[in-house]
Amino acid sequence: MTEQSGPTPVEPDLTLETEDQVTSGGGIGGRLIAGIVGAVLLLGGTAFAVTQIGSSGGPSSPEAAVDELLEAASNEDLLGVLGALDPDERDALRGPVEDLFAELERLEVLDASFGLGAVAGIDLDFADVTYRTEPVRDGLSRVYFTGGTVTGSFDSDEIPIGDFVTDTAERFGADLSGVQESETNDIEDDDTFLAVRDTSDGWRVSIGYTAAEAARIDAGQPLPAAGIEPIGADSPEAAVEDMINAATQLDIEGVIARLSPGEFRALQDYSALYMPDVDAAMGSAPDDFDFTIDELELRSETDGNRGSVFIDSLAFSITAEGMTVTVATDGECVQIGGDLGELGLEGTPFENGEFCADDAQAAYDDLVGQMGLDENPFADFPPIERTPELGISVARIDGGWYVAPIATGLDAMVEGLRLIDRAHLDAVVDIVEGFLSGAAFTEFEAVGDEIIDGGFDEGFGDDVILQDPDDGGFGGSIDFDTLFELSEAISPDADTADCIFGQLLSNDDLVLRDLIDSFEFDVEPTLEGRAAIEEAFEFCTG
Amino acid sequence: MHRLAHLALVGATIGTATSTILPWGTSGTRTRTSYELVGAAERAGLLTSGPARLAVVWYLVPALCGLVLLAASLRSVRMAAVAGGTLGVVVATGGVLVLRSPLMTEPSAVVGLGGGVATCVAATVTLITARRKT
Repeated sequence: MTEQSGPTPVEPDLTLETEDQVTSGGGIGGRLIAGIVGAVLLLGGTAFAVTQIGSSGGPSSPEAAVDELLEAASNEDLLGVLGALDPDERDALRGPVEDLFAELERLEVLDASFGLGAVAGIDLDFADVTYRTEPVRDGLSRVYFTGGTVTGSFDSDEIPIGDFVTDTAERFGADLSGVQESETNDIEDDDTFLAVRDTSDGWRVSIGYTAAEAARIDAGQPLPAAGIEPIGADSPEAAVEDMINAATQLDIEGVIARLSPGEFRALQDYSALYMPDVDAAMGSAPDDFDFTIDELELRSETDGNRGSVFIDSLAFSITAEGMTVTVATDGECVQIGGDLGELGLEGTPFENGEFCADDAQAAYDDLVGQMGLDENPFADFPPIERTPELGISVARIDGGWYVAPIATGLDAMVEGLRLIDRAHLDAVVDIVEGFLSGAAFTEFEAVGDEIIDGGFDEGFGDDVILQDPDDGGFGGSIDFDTLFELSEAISPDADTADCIFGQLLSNDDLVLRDLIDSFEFDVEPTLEGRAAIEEAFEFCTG
Repeated sequence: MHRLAHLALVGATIGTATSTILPWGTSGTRTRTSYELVGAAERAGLLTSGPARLAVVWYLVPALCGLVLLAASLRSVRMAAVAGGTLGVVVATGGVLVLRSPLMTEPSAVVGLGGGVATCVAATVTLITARRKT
């Protein structure tokens, strides 16, 4: 139709009745070809659209689902990975996780290049992977890995870490560049599996069912016949209120039923495995146990199928074993009443029965004082401009609203991050740097000098360092040789040193590791460590 | 002028539709055509809310292209212009969305965006000149 060859067509007269029909001036042959191509495209395109719309073409078998996930992972294809996961689980976490990564990018912990486009620097390559599938029940299978290889590579120059991380590493003399590792391992047939669920749109890998199946097999339990049916609410507020009401009645099954199936479908399905134990635990509650909600005001903010429910005011009372405690909050203050004497609140922020947001600073100052610090190590921390607004996250699934605990945690983390900026992170690093240099703990030295005589100073220096678990700190074994050297440093007399060594051994491992590290690295021990030395010294020297 | 606009509409439509079957975006090392992208985004749950649901009209692009060609061959200029304009709007919008997405975009997406705009312009001019001619 775009050609001009052949005899020029006779142009028809144009009238108002035929205004749509104007000549193109093209030859009949060209128009014919265009017409045929157009008709084929129209029919074929319509058929294509009909087959595609409403069907995203998920994998048709459990193995295909796992294969798709591994291929996407090998290609660093986040879009593909998202598509291979159980849609309920993925949708439940995608929003909060996206928010979290956005905040980490804003804070320059992650680089802005992190995203769907690429996760550079970390490569996984699965090759020749073979599977064995065991059906669990209709619509749920376990796909076992039986062979193949996996190659993992790491390149620190490519990984999308932000300026905060690199700057902080530089401050501590660490160089993150040029670290490249790669390792290939055979995939063993060692009963490692992924659970795959048949969704309404193909088979997808389910993290929740994988964990549930692993726990069930580990416990040697049969497949539960029936689970807890999820109960959705008509509104976000109703979802939270219904769950609270179920909790007050110790109706754990009711609580679980109101959890978002997106997060806890497997937990609900496999309830028969754990509910007997839960029921037994609930049965041991005191006979006079009573939990009453006296006041509950909720409000919500929603965005599509996500939402947050905020508690504007709450008052409840709990009675157990003859004691009743009442708690009320209006968002600003928390009041605790009832049999407070039994609770032992003396010395806590609640000893007067009320704790308000304004009291937080005083409570913090008290805490600083109790820690033996004469100055607030966070004094230079930039001010936080607003109070975080923490809510209970809810999700709408199949028209019903459910409480989403994992999203609640992630959203709380995001809200916390939104309060701060890069300057706050840098201030935290300043404080850590101060701890490492001992600047924040100079008062410990004075305390140490008062309680320990000259023998102490022979073994220890003036600084305090953080314990490194890899260097015999928490979790490491006790280095008795160093402990004995420490005893000899405290007293040159062999018998006294033996005695001190024996006395020191009566302390718990935490204290011993502190003393050993302090002696080894020539720094001040903690107050507990010094007290242990003082006691041992006094005991052995009379 | 009218014939030129008509030819431009057909040419832009073919070019624009052709661009949609070429690679548009890359996630990791996986490159996808525009149709594969819509499918992958749909499966990843990225097209479930609000206006994003309209992304499924992308699958109508081949049919719209066929409609433009068929209408043009039948000298039904108004229908060709409306179908071409619709196709242009759809593809140009898709091009903008892909270019603004976190995906690494391929040159075909830019071609699609440009072709979509050109198709819209050609369709508009075709409509105007057809009306003047009548």
